[in-house]
Amino acid sequence: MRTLKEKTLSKRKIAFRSWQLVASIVLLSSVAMPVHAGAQVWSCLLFASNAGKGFELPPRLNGYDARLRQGLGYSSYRVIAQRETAVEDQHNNLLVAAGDIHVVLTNLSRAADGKYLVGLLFLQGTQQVMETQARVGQGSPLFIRGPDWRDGQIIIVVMVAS
Amino acid sequence: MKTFEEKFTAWLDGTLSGEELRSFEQEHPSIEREQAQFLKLKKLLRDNLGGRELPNPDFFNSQIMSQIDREKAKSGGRSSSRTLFGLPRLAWGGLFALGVGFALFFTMIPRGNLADPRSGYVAEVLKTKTSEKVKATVDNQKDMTIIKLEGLDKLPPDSDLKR
Repeated sequence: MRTLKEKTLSKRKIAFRSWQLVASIVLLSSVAMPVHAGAQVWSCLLFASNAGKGFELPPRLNGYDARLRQGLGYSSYRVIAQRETAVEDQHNNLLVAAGDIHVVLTNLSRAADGKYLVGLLFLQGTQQVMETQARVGQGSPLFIRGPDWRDGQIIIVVMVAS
Repeated sequence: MKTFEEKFTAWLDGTLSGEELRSFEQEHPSIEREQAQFLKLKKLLRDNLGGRELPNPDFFNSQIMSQIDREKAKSGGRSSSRTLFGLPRLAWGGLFALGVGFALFFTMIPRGNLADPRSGYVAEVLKTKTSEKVKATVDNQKDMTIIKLEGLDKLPPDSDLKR
């Protein structure tokens, strides 16, 4: 027959282990939550040219006009296509497409420092032109110089919006 | 000099002897009658006022021990409940939860003014892989990372790139 002391110790052990279990569940669920659950990735195709000085930038690129002019060397930009995608499956999400140009999100995960690891695939027609892996911050657009078109160039922009 | 009680006690025990015995018996001629009364009284006391034995001595001991255990259990239970949900444990638990909250806040929630593109811009190209005729270079400018692709096929001017 168990003594009173043994019974007390047993109750303490059970209570302590229950707290351990609850704390572990709470902590693991917060850390192990899939990063792509609810993640929004915004992408657009810009047509950059030197025909005039027009900036028809989407709201996501507010404040980038000067940098676009300096970085890409074109004075005029307009949006050809843009799309915001809710990433449910972190593999192979079509971000934006126009004509033969397709930009696909191949991978999205959260890095330990809170930034995002993004995998992108750029296809022109049926040809896989480029595949890239990048580490980006939320709201930081990544620019890709695309093919030349008419008197300008197609610029691909990808951003993890949220 | 011995007192009367000492002499009387010695006389009763039969240890008084010699001159002391003769003088004691002469001084107290009725001492033998008193001895008889004394012995009668002694027998009477022994027979009627002797130490009473408890009929169940083990029962008495067990009752006492049970009461002691009950008192111990009461004080022990109270202290264990105080220890389990006591103030120090609650305080440490609260501090731990606060620490976990802060850690999650600083690691999971982005900071900085996201409306201002110049604050906290991070875009780092880790690797690129291109088709055979295409070459990729990364141009890291301030607050702007550009991947340049050389060797791409030019799009036909009449390509229908729908908005």
